[in-house]
Amino acid sequence: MDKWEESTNIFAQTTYSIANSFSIVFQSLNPFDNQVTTLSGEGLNGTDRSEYGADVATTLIPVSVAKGLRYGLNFRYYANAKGAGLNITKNSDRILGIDWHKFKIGGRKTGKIINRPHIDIPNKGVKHWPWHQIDKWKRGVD
Amino acid sequence: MSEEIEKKLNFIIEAALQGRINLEEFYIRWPSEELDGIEYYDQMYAEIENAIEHTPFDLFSKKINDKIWKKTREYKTLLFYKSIIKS
Repeated sequence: MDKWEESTNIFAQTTYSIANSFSIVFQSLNPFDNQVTTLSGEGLNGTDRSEYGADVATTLIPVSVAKGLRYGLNFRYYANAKGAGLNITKNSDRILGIDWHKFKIGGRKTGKIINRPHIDIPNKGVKHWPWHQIDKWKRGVD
Repeated sequence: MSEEIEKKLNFIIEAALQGRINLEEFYIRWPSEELDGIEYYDQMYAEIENAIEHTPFDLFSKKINDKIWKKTREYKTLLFYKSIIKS
């Protein structure tokens, strides 16, 4: 079988469905991507994509809601920062975030708001890596 | 702290707790002239900014996800600052 999306193998069908849903949700959230397509290239602009979001949620949620499990892998949507993130959590607190949302860079008064992918490790004081670090290095700030 | 500054901070924190303030509005409303450079308030600024950035919303209904939000460290930090300002 040379086409993943047309495979009759149950494992191939399932993995295609999950990968396709993740791909569509991340394209939908990317403010710079105006052409949302499936993995096979089919255009989805102007269509209802909520079923793909539901697929992502049903893939991730069981990891975090299993009884007695303190660690979880969660997708979170950050409307007030126009973005989202994939987080490893412990008791609902983020311990590692792979995020893409707005944040301010370059100092409080003179800085500007940008929207870039970054990594947060709250317990280690790592925020908006590597952009803050690069900016501080460029400005000669500790 | 003047009553006016206290009111501004209360408004910001209450709005952040309810997910009613976005980053741009926070930067406009924060009383920079009065508070910038004071270590305690610089820390408060960073914590509120972080909480606003990471307030979880439901992707489809666009409403705040209270179930997750109220369990987070960010939410509890905002509650702490709210209680400090009130006292």
